[in-house]
Amino acid sequence: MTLIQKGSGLGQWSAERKAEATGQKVATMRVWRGDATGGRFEEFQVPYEDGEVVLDILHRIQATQASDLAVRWNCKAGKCGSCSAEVNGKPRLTCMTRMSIFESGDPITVNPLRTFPVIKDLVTDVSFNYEVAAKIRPLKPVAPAGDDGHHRMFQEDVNRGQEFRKCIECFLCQNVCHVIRDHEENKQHFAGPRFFIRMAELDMHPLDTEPNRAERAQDDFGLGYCNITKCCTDVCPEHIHITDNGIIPMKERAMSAKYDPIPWIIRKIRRR
Amino acid sequence: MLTEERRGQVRTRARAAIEQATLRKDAWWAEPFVSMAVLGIFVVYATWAAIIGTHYYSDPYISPLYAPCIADRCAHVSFHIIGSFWRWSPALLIILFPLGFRTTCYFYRRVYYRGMGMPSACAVREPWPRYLGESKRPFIVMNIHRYFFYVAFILALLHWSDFVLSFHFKAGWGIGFGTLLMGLDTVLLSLYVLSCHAGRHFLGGHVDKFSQAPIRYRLWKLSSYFNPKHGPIAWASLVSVMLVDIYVRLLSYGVFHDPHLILLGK
Ligand code: SF4
Ligand code: SF4
Ligand code: FES
Ligand code: FES
Repeated sequence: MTLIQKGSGLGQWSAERKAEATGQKVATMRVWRGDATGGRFEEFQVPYEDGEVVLDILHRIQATQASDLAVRWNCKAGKCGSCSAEVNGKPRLTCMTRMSIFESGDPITVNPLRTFPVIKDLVTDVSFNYEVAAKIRPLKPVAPAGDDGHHRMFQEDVNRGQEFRKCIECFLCQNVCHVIRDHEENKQHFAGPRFFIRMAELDMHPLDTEPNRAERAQDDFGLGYCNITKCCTDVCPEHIHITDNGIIPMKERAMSAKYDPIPWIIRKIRRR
Repeated sequence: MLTEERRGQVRTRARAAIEQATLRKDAWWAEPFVSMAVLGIFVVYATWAAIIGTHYYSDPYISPLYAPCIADRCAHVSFHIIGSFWRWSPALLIILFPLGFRTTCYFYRRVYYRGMGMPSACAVREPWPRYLGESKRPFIVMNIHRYFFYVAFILALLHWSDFVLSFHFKAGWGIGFGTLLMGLDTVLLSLYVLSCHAGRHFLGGHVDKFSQAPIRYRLWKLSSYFNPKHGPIAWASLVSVMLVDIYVRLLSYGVFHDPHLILLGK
């Protein structure tokens, strides 16, 4: 690991003295700094208090030791999905990662999402995801049943979709998915877990009439690349059951549409 | 500021240059290691137990690896389907179904793909230069899981009949320690089948408007209740199959006698 030792600056010195005087804890942070041309981990000693989160510490570094540190954030409440990064190698929302979960004294590494191009320091270019989103056909609703022009849906019909609507588009699942994380070339034909649950939501929607969504997920969006190893589910901060409730049902639906003779026979009989 | 030159650099779309395969500090290798070890033990044991073709029955218990026994030469025939020409182990006639069911199970797929380093653990780089997953051969074949589900569903029902028979001793009806083990195994296998993802789709998951399919909605909810526990149930039922087989085998070798907890007589 290329490491640059910081700590000679005045801000650093006074931070450490202050921490000593108040008995505050000091974290050793190793933050990746750089851009598309290269970079390295830089080490910072940062005082912190119980209850603080990693994003607080990054902000403190910005305020006292490295004013040009690039960090993206918005809500600091785990709802906007912009502060995604990797902490000690695990994809996380930095605003929801408490310092208290780390052994005090052990260095904590923070690096940008590794699946997307880096812009600067912890900020990555996640436009891949928006490009995929644009390719998914939107909801195509049936005509309203009643005279008043309103659609009516039953709660049990939308429960499944509502779970997927919790998504905050942090793209942690996209980042951790080995299909594109370890194989850049697969970005050409693989949409990723966040978009499989979008497709599942639309396919299960009680009003949607767009045909063949499951086949398209398989043929055009690379559903088959997913080997259901469930890392997307493991990292989702909204605890969406991406694999069990989204991807696997879509695999089953694609299977019914493409290969299984039994649903095909049942459909034939029904049509008679 | 984003100057033209900097903009050009951003457009190179280069990722952060980090060499390490992972920056995780926890024992991420422990889970795939332990699961593959357990799976390995089961595969070796089950292969041996299925091939030797003896000591799989001890009245009134039959090893789950041999049930249902469909050859005439079985120590305890469930159905006379295969004539006495079949000289090999009767387990070989049916083992394909439970074996195929487990091999193509979404949960075991996760386990052995992780064991094969695809990936070993989350945010740990794969060693493979190319990856096609289940989009092409060979792994696309995993999608046949639902056919195994259809058969497994029937096998699970037959398991209950073996369980009922395990109350029936030579001296009459009763409950032995083996009956309890068989009961546990039957319940776990049934839950394993009920919580199956293909089953969940079959029972109701394929429906878009649950409000118009109340029975399938109920069935789907039942399966969905157990589905989140499919992994632990898969492990538990794997172990219970092995335990019952070992128990029956030891009884049959005469290592010890089955303790009869209750015996009601004829
Ligand atoms: S379960 Fe599938 S989509 Fe999710 S991370 Fe694994 S391979 Fe990617
Ligand atoms: S599904 Fe979860 S992990 Fe993925 S983008 Fe949405 S909130 Fe983030
Ligand atoms: S800052 Fe909004 S999710 Fe972290
Ligand atoms: S048995 Fe595991 S998913 Fe079907």
